[in-house]
Amino acid sequence: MSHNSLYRWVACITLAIAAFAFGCSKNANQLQEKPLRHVKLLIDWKAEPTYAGFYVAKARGFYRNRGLDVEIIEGNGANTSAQIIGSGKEYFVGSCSGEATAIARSKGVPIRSVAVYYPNVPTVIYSRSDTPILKPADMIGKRIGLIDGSISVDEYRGIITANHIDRSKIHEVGVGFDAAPLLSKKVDGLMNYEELTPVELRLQGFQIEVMRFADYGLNAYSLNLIVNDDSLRENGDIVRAIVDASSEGYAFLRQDPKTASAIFVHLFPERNPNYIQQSINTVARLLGTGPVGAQTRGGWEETIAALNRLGLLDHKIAVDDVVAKEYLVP
Amino acid sequence: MLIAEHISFGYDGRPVISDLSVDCCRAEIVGIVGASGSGKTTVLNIFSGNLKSHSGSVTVDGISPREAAQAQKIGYVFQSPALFPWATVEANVSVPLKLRCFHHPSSSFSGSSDNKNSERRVQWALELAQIQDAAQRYPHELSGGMKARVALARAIVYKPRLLLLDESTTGLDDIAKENLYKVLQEVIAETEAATVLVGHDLSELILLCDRVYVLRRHGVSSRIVHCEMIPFKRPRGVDLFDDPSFISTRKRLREELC
Amino acid sequence: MLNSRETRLSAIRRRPRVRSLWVLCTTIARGISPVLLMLLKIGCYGAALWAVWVGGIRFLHLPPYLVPPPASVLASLEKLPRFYLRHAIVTMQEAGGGLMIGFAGGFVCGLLLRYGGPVGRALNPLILASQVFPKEALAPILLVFLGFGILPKVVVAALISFFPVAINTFRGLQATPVAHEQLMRVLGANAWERFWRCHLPFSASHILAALNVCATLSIIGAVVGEFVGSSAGLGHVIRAANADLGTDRVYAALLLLGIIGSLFYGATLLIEYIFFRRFTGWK
Repeated sequence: MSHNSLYRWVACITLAIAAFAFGCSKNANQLQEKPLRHVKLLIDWKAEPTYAGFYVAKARGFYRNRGLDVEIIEGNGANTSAQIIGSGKEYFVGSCSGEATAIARSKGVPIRSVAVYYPNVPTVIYSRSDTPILKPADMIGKRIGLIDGSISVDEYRGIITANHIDRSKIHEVGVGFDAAPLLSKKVDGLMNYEELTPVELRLQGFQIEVMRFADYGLNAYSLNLIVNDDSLRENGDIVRAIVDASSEGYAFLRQDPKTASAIFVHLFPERNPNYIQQSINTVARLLGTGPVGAQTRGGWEETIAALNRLGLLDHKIAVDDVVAKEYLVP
Repeated sequence: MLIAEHISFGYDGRPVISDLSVDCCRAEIVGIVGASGSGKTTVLNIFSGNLKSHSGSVTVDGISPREAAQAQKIGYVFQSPALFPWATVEANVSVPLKLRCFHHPSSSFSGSSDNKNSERRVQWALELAQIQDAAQRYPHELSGGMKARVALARAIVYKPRLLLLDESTTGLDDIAKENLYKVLQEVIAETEAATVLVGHDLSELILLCDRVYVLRRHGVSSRIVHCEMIPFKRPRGVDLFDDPSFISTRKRLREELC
Repeated sequence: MLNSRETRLSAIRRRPRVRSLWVLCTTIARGISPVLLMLLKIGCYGAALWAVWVGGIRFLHLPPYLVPPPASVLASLEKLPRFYLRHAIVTMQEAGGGLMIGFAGGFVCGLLLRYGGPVGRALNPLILASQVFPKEALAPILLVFLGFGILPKVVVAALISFFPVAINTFRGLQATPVAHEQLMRVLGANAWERFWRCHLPFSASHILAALNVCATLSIIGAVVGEFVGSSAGLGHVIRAANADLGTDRVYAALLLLGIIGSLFYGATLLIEYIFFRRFTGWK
């Protein structure tokens, strides 16, 4: 055998051994890592700072640490979320609102709340500073925009009733989700979550005032985490892991909104970073001061009572129908 | 070849033709003349199997017209040429040869069914109709007379036993008509098909036919009122129009028509 | 009578090397001139659109939260090309899938309406009903059974696309001239041959016209589906941007939808030209 062919043989054998060793080590690594369980988490609207806690939990590895590979899917409203999670086909866990959870449960949808992030409704009426609406009585004689099919309309009814306002003295106008009617002075007040459109408008230089529903007699749980009844029984460990990780995400957001904002901006570079920062600051405040994710019997009783007064529940329900007991805080 | 006896037909209870009897033998050309709206096209549609007579009987080569059509024993040249606008002249003429019934044992085609025979058959039909130079042209590139000849070539390519022509020279100028008369006589002499021509042009029918039936409205429906034998020798040209016996035959038929 | 300059020029052109170069240049110019002409047309349309847009903002005093200036829309596109491309591809996939399924389903329905006899007649009111009710009413059912992925948008796009195809197929198959219908019977054609050689070619114009229309309808369907529930697609971009007054993103998405619509329409014309122009009398 000549020298050249000998070197060629040696080179080939060396390469083969190296490739084999690399392959083995890779396989060994894979064997050592436990596979993550894939879960689809359905948030009830588009990717807004309201749901930043979930995105922060994913980015910081809180789900991964608990053996979960979570995919966050954007939804189309709390009621739709409740229906989809109730059917349990592709999605068995996701966000919703306390009101939509109780309403769906009264219609027989098999879902339960496992955590509450907004202990109060974040809905506000926002208005221009030249015609401010600072309290419910300021709505008299003014034009208020109502979004068809939105729960905010029922919340508005609740405020009217709780504050003894004559509804016939308010001019109600059907509108969409955008702020154009307010800015073009077609209406005097619109409704939205405090952390969303009002923040954006202020950043764009508009003088905006807000009236919080939670300050005027509407006490109900809002942003929460729900799960399908069957999955609660069959995948209790996964549900626990998701609840703990999501709550950890929101707790991180409350503690360090700046970093949470940076994470959200990195994930959604098309959004205005200033808006994200301001909005997350508001979310942090809306999370309240108590333990993040905590839900109490008293809180749910108030929520159910408010919905009963508005006539939104098909059947009478109790707290134990709506909540997974093991996730109630005494 | 064609025997129609006492046939009647009407649309929605309104009688159109009644008690009509026509016959036509092999290589014979028979004409049916009538005024507009007298039911000439209806008669041809009954002979071709498109319509079924309400009474009487029609046979083509001993079988019903519908069965004869399914066996490609009938050729029909419509008043409008009915060419396929997306196909060349050659493709239009070859359409009948691509149909399944062309290869059926009961059809007129007695040869084998490979492509070469079909190509030769198409070429033969094109040459007979004197349209072979335009084989690769599309219908929108042809004159009225050329379209009529393509329709004729398509009608004879499968050598039908019965050939029906429905006012095929409508809209053509005199030169084109003269050309078509010549081609028609050559085609029928070559194919020996029993031919039935309908029209309202007396001169044309006397020139082309061996016998002419006169279809006239009688009350609410039309019926055959006269049958004239045409004794002129073939081939006949348009110079026959000035012949005194041609003129007198024409005058006779005209009196029967009115 | 030629002047001396023209005589000198023609003399120069007649020299062999110059002549070859001249032939080469004119050949290239003839080849690329249609492309240059098309680019020039696009440029003119773009300039006209820009002028109308800017003029509208200025003279109608349109605020930026309603209509952003074109410069900010282009800046958004330039800043986030991958973002828009990713969402545009999703919408194109949904619209393309919906168009193909809608076209196939519509074609089959058209055949049933024409040849199905009592089955076809029974189908007619169902087809009409499917078009009358708003697709958003289907949303919860679609989301529950098909999820938030690409499938429900394909279904909505298919539902919107299939009706014009079904009706045009039906009417087209009825549009065979009587003489041709009679001709095929006299020639002894069976039902399949009458359909394949006569009815279908005559209906080509109708069916392809429906395809042209559905090219844009399918995009509308995909966007409607995205409005109902999605995490991706240009409809999703519009919905999300509306929530935080991101009108530059809304208009950027609309611009891209217009371009996608033109591409789809052009593609259907290309299909017609390549495969069916002899049946439709292409001009």
